[in-house]
Amino acid sequence: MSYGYTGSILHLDLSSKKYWIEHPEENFYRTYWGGRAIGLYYMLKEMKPKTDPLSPDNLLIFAPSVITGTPAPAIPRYTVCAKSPLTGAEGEAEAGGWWGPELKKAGFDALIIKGSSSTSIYLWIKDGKVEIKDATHLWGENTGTAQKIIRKELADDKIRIAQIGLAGENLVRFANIVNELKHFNGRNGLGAVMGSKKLKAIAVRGTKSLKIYNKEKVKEIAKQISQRIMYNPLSRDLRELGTLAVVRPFYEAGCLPSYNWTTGYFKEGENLTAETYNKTILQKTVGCYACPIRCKRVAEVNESDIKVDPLYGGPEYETIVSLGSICGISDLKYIAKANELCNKYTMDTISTGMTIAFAMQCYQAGLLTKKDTEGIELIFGNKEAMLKMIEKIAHREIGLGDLLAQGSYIAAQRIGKGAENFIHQVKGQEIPMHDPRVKTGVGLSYALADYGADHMKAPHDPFFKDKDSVGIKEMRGLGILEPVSPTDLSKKKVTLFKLLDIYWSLFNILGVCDFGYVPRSVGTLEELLEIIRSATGWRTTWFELMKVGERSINMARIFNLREGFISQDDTLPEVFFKNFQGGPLDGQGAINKKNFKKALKLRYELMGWDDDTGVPSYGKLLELGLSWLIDEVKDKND
Amino acid sequence: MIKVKILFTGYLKNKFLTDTIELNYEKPVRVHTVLKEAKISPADVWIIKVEDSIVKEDYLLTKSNEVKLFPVIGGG
Repeated sequence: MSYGYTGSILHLDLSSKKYWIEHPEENFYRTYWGGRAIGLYYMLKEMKPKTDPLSPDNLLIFAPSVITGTPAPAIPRYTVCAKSPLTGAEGEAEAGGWWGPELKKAGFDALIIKGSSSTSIYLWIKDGKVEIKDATHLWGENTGTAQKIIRKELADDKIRIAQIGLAGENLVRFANIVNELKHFNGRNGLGAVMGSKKLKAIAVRGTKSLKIYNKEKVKEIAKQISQRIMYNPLSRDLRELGTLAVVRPFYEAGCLPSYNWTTGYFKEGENLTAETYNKTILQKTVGCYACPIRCKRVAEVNESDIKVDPLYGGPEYETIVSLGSICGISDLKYIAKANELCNKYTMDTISTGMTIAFAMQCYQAGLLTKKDTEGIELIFGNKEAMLKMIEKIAHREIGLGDLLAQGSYIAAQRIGKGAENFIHQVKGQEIPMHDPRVKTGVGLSYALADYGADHMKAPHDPFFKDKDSVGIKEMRGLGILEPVSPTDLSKKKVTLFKLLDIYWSLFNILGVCDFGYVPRSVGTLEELLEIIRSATGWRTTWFELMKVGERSINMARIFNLREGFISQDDTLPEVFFKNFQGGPLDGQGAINKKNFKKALKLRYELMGWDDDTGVPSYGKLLELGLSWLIDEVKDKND
Repeated sequence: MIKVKILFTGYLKNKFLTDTIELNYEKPVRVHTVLKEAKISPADVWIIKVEDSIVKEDYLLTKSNEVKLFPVIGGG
């Protein structure tokens, strides 16, 4: 008898329009658990190295976990995996919402999709049954319209839909996937992979409840955590101010990424704060499946010169900055409009903003001209220009729109003339909006992220700064005992972030939202462990769970080695090795490059990897039950 | 007399149920002493701003000042 998981994995070949259902043994689930680990298992087993990410041979995998769909709070997330068309590396992105839990109720632990349809289609999965349906009438439609049509034709408004918009259809390399119009598998361009398969949407509906080993226990813990969340100041802050609570400290400290990272000082920062947002464009807040926090913003603008449709949610912190200060823009209404466009076309707002900011800097430096922009004055602060560029990219208009749809890394190579000095990326993915000069652990995470720079790779440094910090008081069970300064880059920091990387890799696998559990919130290690035990019936331990996280990191490492990535790809953009310019931190902050390289070498050693090449050792792979991957590193270890 | 006005931002307002606290000192005082006397844990405070400068907890306040505290907060 299985608990927590359905025991069924759906395989679909869109080229032949055939599907089959695999029923893996319990040990498979107990080894890989869900999310990226299941995704990487199939990518390593079934995908040939150097596969073109936009070819039918790429796999597109949707995977919740063995605990998704339980009543536990803040565990709504699921992962989409594929080889990324943006980076050429392992691609993955997690999303909240309702789609993951609904897929489980519909009878499947994961979808493994290969091939490509000759015509546009969508999938309809209900209670274990699968239909491939025509989507020619949906192709080209915005996500809001497509969702409405699908729900109408399937005559069920409780259907949950993951889908792509125009950017995914047009193979924009940073297109994303959305569920319920507001929850995004944001990064790595996985929407373009979906578009390359001519797969517009996946509609799921389940009417059966999941088998949970001890449902009453899960409910009891859920109640306790939810009650504490209601009164916890940090959780209340998330509800009241959302993720953009962080704008104020960054702006006032002078580390708010601005003008394509040329400064951290943004004079008009007050316009971007949560307080201004709440007063001007906030319509309401919404949440995810079984989550009491409700951190997500919905924005609405209804003025004569600009309107923003609340159907597509509202900008969160990353978006406020990437479509705001990074482009020199301080008008929240225009940022909300840009967010609406990105959301209905399904474009990652971080990569979109960073790519436009890159183009703005190129224009100001004379590397792009008015001829290139077709008359658009593409300078920092031009909010109308930003909206026009989003349209050009989503529609892949011949010329600059088509060029920028490749992402800033490829665009810089094509522009040449020094344009590469204006990009800020790791492994080809544009960096998120947290400056590692004020939290060096985030810098390690950016450099080491298998899927390119990402701010959700590990918790951030400030939660471990003091002996009374949540990360120190509540995470002793993982061996985290001593505080470390946010700007420290010593052995202590490197050791801490090895554990944190593994811990959050596990979160990603299990679909746990970091806003629900320590160090970011009130759910404890003990409670999370008990939820997992009660959902699955497995008498698991934190030892076993941390190995699950570590296993996935090694699998991703090997996938990337196979694709030609080397240790030199684990690095940071040059800007972080220089001091801040302007504002309260002027002349301070540079990360010492030599120390950073030493930190990376130490991290390799701690992971059981070669300290020079970063290749996992035989012993490490054996320890993690990955002996089936030893041949993949044989040449590299000899 | 040195008047130190502590300004809370973000969730610190929720935690301390006020926007400001004022303390008076006869002689220069370090920020960590002010925090201790106001019963504010350094674990809650990430960034400290005095006038237009970002300072550390050992910063010496030599005249009346506003000390703005920004809470520990993560990504999103």
